[in-house]
Amino acid sequence: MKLKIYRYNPSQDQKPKMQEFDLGETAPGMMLLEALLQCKNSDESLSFRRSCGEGVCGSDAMNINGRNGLACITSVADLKQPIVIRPLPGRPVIRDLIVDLSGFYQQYRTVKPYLVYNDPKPEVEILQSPEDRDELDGLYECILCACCSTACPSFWWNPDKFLGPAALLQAWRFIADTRDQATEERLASLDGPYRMFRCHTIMNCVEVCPKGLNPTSAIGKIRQKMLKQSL
Amino acid sequence: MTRRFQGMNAWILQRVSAVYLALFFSYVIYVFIFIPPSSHEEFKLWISNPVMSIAMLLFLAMILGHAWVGIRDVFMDYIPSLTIRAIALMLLAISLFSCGVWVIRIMVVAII
Repeated sequence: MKLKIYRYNPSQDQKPKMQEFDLGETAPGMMLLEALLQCKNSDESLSFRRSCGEGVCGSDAMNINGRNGLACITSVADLKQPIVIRPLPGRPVIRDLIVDLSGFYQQYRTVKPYLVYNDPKPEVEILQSPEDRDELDGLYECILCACCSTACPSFWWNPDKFLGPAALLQAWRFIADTRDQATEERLASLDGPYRMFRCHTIMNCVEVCPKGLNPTSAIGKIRQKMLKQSL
Repeated sequence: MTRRFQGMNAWILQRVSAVYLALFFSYVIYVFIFIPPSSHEEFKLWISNPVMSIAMLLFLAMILGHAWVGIRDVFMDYIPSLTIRAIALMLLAISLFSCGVWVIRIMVVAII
């Protein structure tokens, strides 16, 4: 198995280069993360993030043969060789496959990803009907791996002004929540030509999401809600 | 309480104009394929019909609005420098406005 991996250490290198690794035969059922760990054994300076190794933490998001995904749940048998691995596109590279996601997290924070409840807090849980709870399916599962936002051309061009699909999915997750009492404020904060309306329904986010979520649909629902509120 | 979402206006304009343009284009293509005016006089008569004139003026407004929102979006995405973007948007506004004036002049000449 052959891999070509992006290598760049901004403090030392003038420009990035692609390093080739040859790992010989692949073990059956091998995931890309295991292959990367083998590469790291042969060259310890290779840097990438990983943690849980089973698609739950979202640490090892990277660009695999031109498509964003999680290395730990990508089977090498399904990939065309040589496997070309690059960092997530459009973000500053800290080193090799590690990118600076602070802007991505900042956009996430601006949508207030938590319940806003203004009434006096009740003594018991705030109950929802099963139907209301179903509204949150396909929204709460996001692991913030940043595959979607870094695959979005609108986010590449305006990462500081456009919130990006991950943050907008979470914005809808709390607007759709019947327990939340800040719908009006949330919608108002998404207004303007940039924050949400830079989305041109390109749908790269849906294409790459390793959890199979659909930020484009969530953005469409926010727009519908805005339209209803403004009529 | 209802409220206006300012950022939404451009988005709504783009969608509404898209629907109108699709309908209007279909109608005009239908007319020219199946019941084309046989002479210039007949064409002028068709155009100067009040309903058709209004539909045509509305078409003009819609296509200019649609073009403005679409090209403005492209400029917002691809021109990061605010100065260059402002100049580009100004040129766009001038050229779209000129197109509008030009079409109205053609229509006035055609109807008179």
